[in-house]
Amino acid sequence: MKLKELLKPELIELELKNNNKKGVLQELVGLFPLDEKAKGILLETLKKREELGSTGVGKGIAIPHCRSLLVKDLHLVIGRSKKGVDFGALDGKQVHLFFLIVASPLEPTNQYLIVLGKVAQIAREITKDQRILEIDEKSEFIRFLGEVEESLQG
Amino acid sequence: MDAQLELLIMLHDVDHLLRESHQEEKELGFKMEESSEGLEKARKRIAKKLRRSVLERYELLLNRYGRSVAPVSKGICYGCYMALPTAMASGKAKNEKVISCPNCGRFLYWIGK
Repeated sequence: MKLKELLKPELIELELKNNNKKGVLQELVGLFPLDEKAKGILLETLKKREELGSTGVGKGIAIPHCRSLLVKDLHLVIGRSKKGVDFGALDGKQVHLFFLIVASPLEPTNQYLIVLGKVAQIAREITKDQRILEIDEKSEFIRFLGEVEESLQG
Repeated sequence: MDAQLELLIMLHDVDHLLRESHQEEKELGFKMEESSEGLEKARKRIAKKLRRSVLERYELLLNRYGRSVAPVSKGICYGCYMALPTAMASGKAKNEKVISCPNCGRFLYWIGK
């Protein structure tokens, strides 16, 4: 599965308003195509996942993720904060980019793990320069991530 | 959504987290805390709120199948992949009460999108 198949403008927020872990997770979950009740449950699961260890992997990137019964397909939600968020990252640095991944526990092809791995790989690549923090248009943001994905495959 | 069903989904997702944490650390390199005590406590808190009969059934199904709640999509129980009886599949009370699959017994959650 290509990452760009999962990249949708309605699932991207380039100007996150919150500056703490709970608030950012809430804002990201808010983008999911779920009813309010389901969003509340999903938020709780993500918060509990963070209790097992922060998904702030360093270099300004966090990859919050979980499997949940509430979703049928794999979803990728992206958030960006230019100011940065204290997310308890492993390197102690502020997080600027959030890749939230949620999959069904039943997902038969196990794309979840593949996508998680791919996002981690792309995240490493895009932190090499500041471009990702400067893009203002969602379409351009999607195109940029797509190009990075292609370059890694090539 | 039925409050008990809500708790069942939370319990299911927490159990999944606990089960997959080793895999995440080993295969994906996510750094995990040494103890999952906090999550175990959260699990207990959720379990405590469930009706005794529901919790007992949840644990029984968990031991038997490894998963106690199954999503339903297009009238199919995704626990045992059997079609649900028509009356049930088209029921209006979806997710408004705790319902079990008549074939495998798993609790059912009608998935929205």
